[in-house]
Amino acid sequence: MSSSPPASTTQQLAELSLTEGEHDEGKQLSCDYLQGHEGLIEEVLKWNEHEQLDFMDKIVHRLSHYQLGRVDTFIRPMLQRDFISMLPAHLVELILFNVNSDSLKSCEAVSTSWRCALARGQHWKKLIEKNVRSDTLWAGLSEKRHWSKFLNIGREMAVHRICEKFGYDSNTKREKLEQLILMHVFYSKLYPKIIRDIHNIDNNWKRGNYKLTRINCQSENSKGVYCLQYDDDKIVSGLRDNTIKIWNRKDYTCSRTLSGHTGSVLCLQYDNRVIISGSSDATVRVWDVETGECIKTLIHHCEAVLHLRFANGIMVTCSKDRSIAVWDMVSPRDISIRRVLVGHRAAVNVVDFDDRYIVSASGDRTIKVWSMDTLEFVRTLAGHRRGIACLQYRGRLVVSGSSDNTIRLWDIHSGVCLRVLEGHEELVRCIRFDEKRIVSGAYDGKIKVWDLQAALDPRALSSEICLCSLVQHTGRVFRLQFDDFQIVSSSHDDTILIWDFLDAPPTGIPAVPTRATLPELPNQAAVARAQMLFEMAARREIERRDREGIIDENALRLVMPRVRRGNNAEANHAQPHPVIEAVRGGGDQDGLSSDEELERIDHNLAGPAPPPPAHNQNHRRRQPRPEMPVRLMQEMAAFDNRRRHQHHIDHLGGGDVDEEMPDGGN
Amino acid sequence: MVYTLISSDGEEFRADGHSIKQSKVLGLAAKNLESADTPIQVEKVKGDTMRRVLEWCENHRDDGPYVSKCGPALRLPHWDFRWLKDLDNQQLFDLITATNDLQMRQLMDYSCKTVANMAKGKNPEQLRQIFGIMSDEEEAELALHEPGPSNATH
Repeated sequence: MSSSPPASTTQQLAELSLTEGEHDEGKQLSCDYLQGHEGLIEEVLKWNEHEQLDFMDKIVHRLSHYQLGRVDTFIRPMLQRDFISMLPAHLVELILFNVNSDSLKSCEAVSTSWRCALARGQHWKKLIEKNVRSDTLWAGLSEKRHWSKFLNIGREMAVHRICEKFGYDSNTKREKLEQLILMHVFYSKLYPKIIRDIHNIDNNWKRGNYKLTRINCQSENSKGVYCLQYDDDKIVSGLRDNTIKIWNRKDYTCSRTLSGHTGSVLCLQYDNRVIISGSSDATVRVWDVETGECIKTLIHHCEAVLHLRFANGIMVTCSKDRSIAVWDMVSPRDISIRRVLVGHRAAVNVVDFDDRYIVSASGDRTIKVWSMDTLEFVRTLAGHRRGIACLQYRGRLVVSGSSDNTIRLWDIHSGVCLRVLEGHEELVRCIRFDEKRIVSGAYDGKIKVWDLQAALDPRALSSEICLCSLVQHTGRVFRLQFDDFQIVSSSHDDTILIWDFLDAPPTGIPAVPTRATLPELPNQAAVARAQMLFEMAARREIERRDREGIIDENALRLVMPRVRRGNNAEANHAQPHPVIEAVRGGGDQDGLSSDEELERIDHNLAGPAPPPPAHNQNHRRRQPRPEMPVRLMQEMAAFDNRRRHQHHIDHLGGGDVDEEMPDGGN
Repeated sequence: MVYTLISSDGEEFRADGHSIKQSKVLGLAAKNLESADTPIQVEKVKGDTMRRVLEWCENHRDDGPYVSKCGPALRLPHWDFRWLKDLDNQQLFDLITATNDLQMRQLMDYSCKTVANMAKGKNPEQLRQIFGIMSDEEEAELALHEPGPSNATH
């Protein structure tokens, strides 16, 4: 409190009456006071800050309660700070990036100076740009709705394009502030339009409202489209008539047909250089994506190649011959086998991988996880009651669809099944997921869309998870792919369907309210939430398993040494993987993420030790819990049963029409 | 390594290398010192703010690397949330400016988020109250009736 700020508190306080009793406000200030107070103020201001403060302290302690309240009302605004005026622009920007659009609107209405500051800062424009950078939905929308040209450009260019769009004269000279206000108005109106668009698309997905485009492949003899992949320009499809057809997305004509396979094309994938396809002729062919020329034919598998994936110089193929092959792709012409993984007891229908794991699923009802580093078997995910037809693996999540008509969600590290989705009435033949949704297709021609977050949330009701059912195919749905705006699916009915949720016809349902009620970064928030729910679900499942004393397959094998160890792969892994230990003292571990806990469990880090001695590296319970023996018997019996039935699997599918997948079940 | 830091108003602080590495500017200054005893002059930061900055650094000395985030993805840890909540507006703004000057991204993100939280969900009137801003009408009124703040002391 030095002498520089005008109308300092010292002065104002000095103007207060110091007498107790009735509030004297409204009373005239006395002559005595008026003459004397200036001199007093001069005196006080001669002191140093410390002395002034001491003086204030003494005075304040002698004020009445009422007076203190009054003092508070004028000190308070002096302590409040207007951050928009006070902080440098880039810091204001940083603060406002944390504020959602509703609050930004409020900020604009606070005062002219704030509005000008916001206009100067171009916050709406920056918010839109930031969202497009971080969220694929926004990025995709900016292209499809053609407003990306208004982003990441300077003031002059922006004004020019805005004028162009609205037919304003772009040649009139505009002052900088005028330009900024023009831009401000444009972007602040663009933003709610984008939000409305996103709302619409979301509603379309939820209600199953779409614009349908049908491509008739018009195969001559064998009809059916087994696999596909698409991008903005083309759809590459593999057909039952042994060809690969590439469709132009502008006019839906077939721009190229690739021939060479002598059996149905069951699976394919392409990138910017090659298309790689697998066929029931047991070969894998590599084609140049530009010219369509067949560059290479890989002969390795003994039976139909049911699925393949490639990325970063590695390819993994799987076959009806029950094996999985891992290939090194140095170049399109230089592809060689690195290792063959065996272990499945029936056809391997699908495979997926990343830099940590390879995941495979089979008609033997199991999903097997293999380490990408060592190519050794890691664990089995068991639970499906019949063969598994489709699967996708990303991050920590594995989603599988089965002949038992269900979809299962798994955590890959722990192997726990997080959720079982029921609803399909026939074999689930294809499945894909992204951060928000799971889309599955079945043998009865139906495609279902599920809410991924709800599926991961243990509290969600089953009825809330399936968003809609799409029925247009008249035959088995063999393959689908989707993104934020569309699903593209192919079927036995020889058609490829494009389900467009972006340009779906309006449904006549009342307009979406203009207030933006979605979170600003739907995907980011969704991802963060999904991760959190995922970890919660995994933790819960682990705790539940522990409580019910479930033992997994490997533990059983140890307990019952006479059980047949059929396979090399499983005998190969030197150490059975540890049984997931209970999370003891759950309360004090709430601060940890589930990831951390599993790490702790897997690696035997320090933590609350279970009753068995701490040097037990495998966390194996030596003493089974009292109620276990009965449970143990049941598990063993079930296990033996399963093993017995597996003998039959190899023979199924023999005379089956489905050449691409034996049915793995009774 | 213990360093001496001197704030803009002459207050002296001691802090060890581990703490001040949270600030890119301070870390660099420390590296470029001729001897460990030479004090580092922190011209732009007042004593009170410096004290708070060092308190925060002390609490975060064992943190791993930080990835800058903002918006819903940024979640403040419990301690930081409480600590920042207790500051009044001026202290908070001084802190933000200091983190900008000292290049401390993590504390900057947290404190900006705290300010944003104050603004969130408020209507314009509430915002005016929180940040002590006059509405256009009030400002117009004021301009009409008063010549301006008294300059008696100048």
